[in-house]
Amino acid sequence: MPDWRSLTAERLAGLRLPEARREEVVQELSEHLEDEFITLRQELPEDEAQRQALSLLARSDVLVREIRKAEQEDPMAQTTRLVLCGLVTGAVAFLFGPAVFAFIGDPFVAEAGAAGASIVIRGPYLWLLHLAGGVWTMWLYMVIRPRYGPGAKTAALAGFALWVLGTLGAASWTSVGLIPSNVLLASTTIGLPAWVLGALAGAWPYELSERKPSQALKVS
Amino acid sequence: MITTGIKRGSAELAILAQLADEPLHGYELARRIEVRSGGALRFTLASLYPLLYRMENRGWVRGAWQTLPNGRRRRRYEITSQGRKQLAPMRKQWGVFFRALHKLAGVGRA
Repeated sequence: MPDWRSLTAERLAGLRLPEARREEVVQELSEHLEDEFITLRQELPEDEAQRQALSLLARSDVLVREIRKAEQEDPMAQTTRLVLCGLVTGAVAFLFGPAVFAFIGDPFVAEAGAAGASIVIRGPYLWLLHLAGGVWTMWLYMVIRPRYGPGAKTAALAGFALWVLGTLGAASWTSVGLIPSNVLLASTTIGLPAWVLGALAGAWPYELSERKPSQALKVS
Repeated sequence: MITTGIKRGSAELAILAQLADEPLHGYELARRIEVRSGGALRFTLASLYPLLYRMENRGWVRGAWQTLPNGRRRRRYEITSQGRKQLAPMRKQWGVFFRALHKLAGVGRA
């Protein structure tokens, strides 16, 4: 039995992908060749079956090019989409806070300000943090989407992950006394629905902008 | 001769339709499409796997490794809920397309 993995790896030498991903592709294609060999072997001598199975890799240059294109399909559009939807996520999460503060009033903000946290609470840094957090949340959504499926649950999971990271960060400030614990409690309580809502808001245009099935001819 | 352009759109439909029946690995998928189409549709490695990877990136299919009792590792693909949502309008559009061809050129069911 030929070493299909080595034969495949040799022919896909020009495939430049992250090592782990490249290994996956090589493994998958070598299994395909082995299956083809086993099928052909039922009717052909071993040498001929091997030759015909290997002929599937005859145009390995085309295969390498097509796989690379598929893996990096429209990277610019993908990045733009990710950033724009991430900004939506961050903006919604940011605006959710003032909406809640309108109900609970200024004492919370005043207390946080007295504790020296005003720059974090009201300054432009908060906008930047939220927008960066929104982009990260959408990136996470994009990464886990193939595994958990597109939609609200996956978006909520990504928002929850951002909230966990944010809470851990804020907790570290509280532990050294820079943010009062009641401020931490209030902000993290508001933060959870804010980031989940933000992620849902970002995932919605992300899914709307999903590529539609390619068609050779338009049918109306 | 089926042109590349028509194949591209129909290939996605063919793959999703097979995976809607049951999860399959790449070789099974290619064989099934070839057999069920009476040999009219055949995938090469360069057409099957890049398309599967694209569909996976779009969230239409999901691949997962499984280890067989004989130690071989296979990547099995299953259709996602998003893929099922794509499949229904695809079927409808291709149905309209073939009915139009039938009226225009007498292309009918075999």
